[in-house]
Amino acid sequence: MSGGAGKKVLGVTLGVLTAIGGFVDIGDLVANSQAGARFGTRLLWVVVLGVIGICVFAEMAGRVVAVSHRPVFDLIRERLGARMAMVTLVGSYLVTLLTLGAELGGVAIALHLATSVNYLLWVPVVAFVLWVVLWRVKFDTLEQVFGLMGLALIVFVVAAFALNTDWSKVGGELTAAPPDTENWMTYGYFAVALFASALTPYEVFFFSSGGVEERWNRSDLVTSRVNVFVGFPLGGLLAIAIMVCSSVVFEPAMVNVSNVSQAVLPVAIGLGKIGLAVVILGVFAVTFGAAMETGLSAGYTVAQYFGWQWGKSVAPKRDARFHTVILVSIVIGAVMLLTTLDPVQITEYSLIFSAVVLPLTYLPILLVANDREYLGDQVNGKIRNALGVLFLIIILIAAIAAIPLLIITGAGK
Amino acid sequence: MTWWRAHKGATITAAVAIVVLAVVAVFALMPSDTDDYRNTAVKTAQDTQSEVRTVSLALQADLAGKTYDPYLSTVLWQARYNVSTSASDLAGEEVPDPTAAAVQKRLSGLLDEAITSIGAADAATGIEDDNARHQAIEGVVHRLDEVGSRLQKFTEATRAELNS
Repeated sequence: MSGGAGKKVLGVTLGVLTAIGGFVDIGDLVANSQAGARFGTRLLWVVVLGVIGICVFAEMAGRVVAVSHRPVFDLIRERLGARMAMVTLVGSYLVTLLTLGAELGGVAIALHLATSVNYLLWVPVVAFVLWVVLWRVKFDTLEQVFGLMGLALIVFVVAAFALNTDWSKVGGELTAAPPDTENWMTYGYFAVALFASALTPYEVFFFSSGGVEERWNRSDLVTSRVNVFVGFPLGGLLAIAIMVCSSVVFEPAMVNVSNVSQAVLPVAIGLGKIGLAVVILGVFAVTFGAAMETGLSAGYTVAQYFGWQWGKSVAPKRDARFHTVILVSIVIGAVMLLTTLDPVQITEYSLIFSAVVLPLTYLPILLVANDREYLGDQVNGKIRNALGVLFLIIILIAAIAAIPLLIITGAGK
Repeated sequence: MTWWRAHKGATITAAVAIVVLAVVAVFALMPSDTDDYRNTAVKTAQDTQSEVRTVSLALQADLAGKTYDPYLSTVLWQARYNVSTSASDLAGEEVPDPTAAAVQKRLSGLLDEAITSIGAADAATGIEDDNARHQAIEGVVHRLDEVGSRLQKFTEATRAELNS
């Protein structure tokens, strides 16, 4: 193999591994643990559906960036006009802010689990370190270090086997109705939360803006597709493993999961101290990685809407407004946690509100991916459009159902 | 007419927002009845049962040498905090009638036992002598499992009353 080809393979492999580790965040951890504890694996199909959905739209977003060399949000403003783009900006930014707070809380809780020092004392430290890292560290380094460390969550897959999971029960539950202790409303609420956890808006903004930062062009289309079609499904496998572990340990004991210390307990039971240490490291890595992604996404969306200079590849003094938005967003996220709002509850609400704004994020991507002015010969074909429209319908249903389900079930209680 | 055309979207949005807020306010301010109280009690009992059984599972993992101190103490802290919060939330609820008062009396006793058992778990994990620690934790696990079962029975009975 020549040096160039070897470097390319290494790059693709690294991208896939990063996508696997980067797929899971506090939303996936919380939603899958809770769903597993309360519904066994009856909602596993939603994770699969969500993974297919994010693959369909992330591929489109990657193609848009590789061909037009412009991030998705920039094109949303141009294609839909300033007023409609402002609605998207406000909705996406608020949800990203909520998610950023939840991820900061996740990092602080991981440190609490490792040190027994209360997470609230860690919040200002984590927020400061996050800001310094986003200010100083290169984009590639950020993405790869935390994506690779996030692979530690593979312990959930190992634990699923170590816990002697009854796989026939897992298969049997896939088409089963909710258990007697639940009803169709709570089933629907958790289905929406799980679906939103796979398609969180910040993921697509980060993915497309990252593509611009890394200067993707048509020759990167293959890399982008491999990342999406291999990395994301394998990341989804981690989410499924979290659900399976939770269902094995908590469902028979009728335990509802309401905090991260519970979510990692199945790994300790299955694999002991080493497994516990690795899973806490994994939680730290994925939440810190997601905190970076949400922090950057907050800056990306605002800067791209107003046409400011933006990006990690630009010197901070040249895109001061972009970095100011990131700093302000981190401060708001940290203050939100310091009011003693429960990070898990923030996560639950962020997922439901994510579901509400999903159409605002994904409809414009579908429109832009069909526009020959931007994509030329790379516009969506019939199959991609059919999948895009199908998932947009599912996204719309989730968006419409989210708030009524939140109210009727009292946030899934 | 011109004003309406210019502000149609904003006016409709504001009207919808006001109606939604009014509906939420009406539901929030409606006096609670026995069933509302039972629902709150079921939720409190379920949450407490989850915490109690989580502590039991974590202690059993600890007995098998599968956890370490900072993790275990975090689990205990979280359980104590959540159960205390649930208990104080329940205490703050309006008790509408004698039936609800009977539900409150039964559940309050169970919540007190849960808090005491989690406190006992904290004390047991702090014992330095290995044998004594092991024995104390085994005792606490047994006690937590009993409290968990009683909370589950309470939940099932109260749920049956709600459905009858």
